[in-house]
Amino acid sequence: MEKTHVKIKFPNQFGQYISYIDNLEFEGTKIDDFINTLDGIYGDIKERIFESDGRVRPYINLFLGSKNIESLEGIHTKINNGDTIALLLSRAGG
Amino acid sequence: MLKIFLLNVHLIATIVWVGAVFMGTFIDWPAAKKTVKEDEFPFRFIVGQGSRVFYSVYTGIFLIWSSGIGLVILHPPQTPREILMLVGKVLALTFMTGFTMYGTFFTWPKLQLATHKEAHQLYENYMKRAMATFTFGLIAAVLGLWIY
Repeated sequence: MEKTHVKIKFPNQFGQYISYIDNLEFEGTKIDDFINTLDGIYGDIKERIFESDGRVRPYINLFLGSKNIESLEGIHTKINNGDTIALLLSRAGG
Repeated sequence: MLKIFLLNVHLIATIVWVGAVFMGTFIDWPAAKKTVKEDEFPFRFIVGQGSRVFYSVYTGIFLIWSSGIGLVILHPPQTPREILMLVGKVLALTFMTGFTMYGTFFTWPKLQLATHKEAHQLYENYMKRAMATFTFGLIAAVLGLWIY
């Protein structure tokens, strides 16, 4: 299977669950493959990002480059070598 | 005239902030947790509510502090009793603001990325601080009535 290398820009609150890595090489070419790889290595990653029906939690924003994946093809969005994947949280709580 | 305006702003901001805490703590959470299975956390509802309450709570905090400072300048405490009550009110507001900011900067980012099990633990602790915030809010409001 094709391998893809990506840069990761996640907030510290999430970085702690993935040993603060800032890049990853994984098998596959889609967001889904990327998340599955993280989940396989670090555990619980899918539960932290997705709802039980498989959708990204509504207040979590996953970006491929400067585009929210929800405006692309969601978890089926294709990733190219060298792309940056970022995660942003909504401002909430008080 | 300015004093009446500031008193009204102070009162409305208090209602918004303490009311939001009351609603979230005593109405929303007990109802929301019954809408999901026991081992699940109602992320969509709770974080959705948290996103909406953020702006009203911080608007309330800003208005309470700014109108409160204005009122103290216009009507400085005169007697030892008034000074004591003002100190009590400022302490209560400081605790409220501290608990709220701790929630925003530490609890909520963790909550948004938590597993269901972690979220329950985080939110139980958050609820304890919310109840303390509500209690301090009532204390501050009552002290404010006595001062004026």
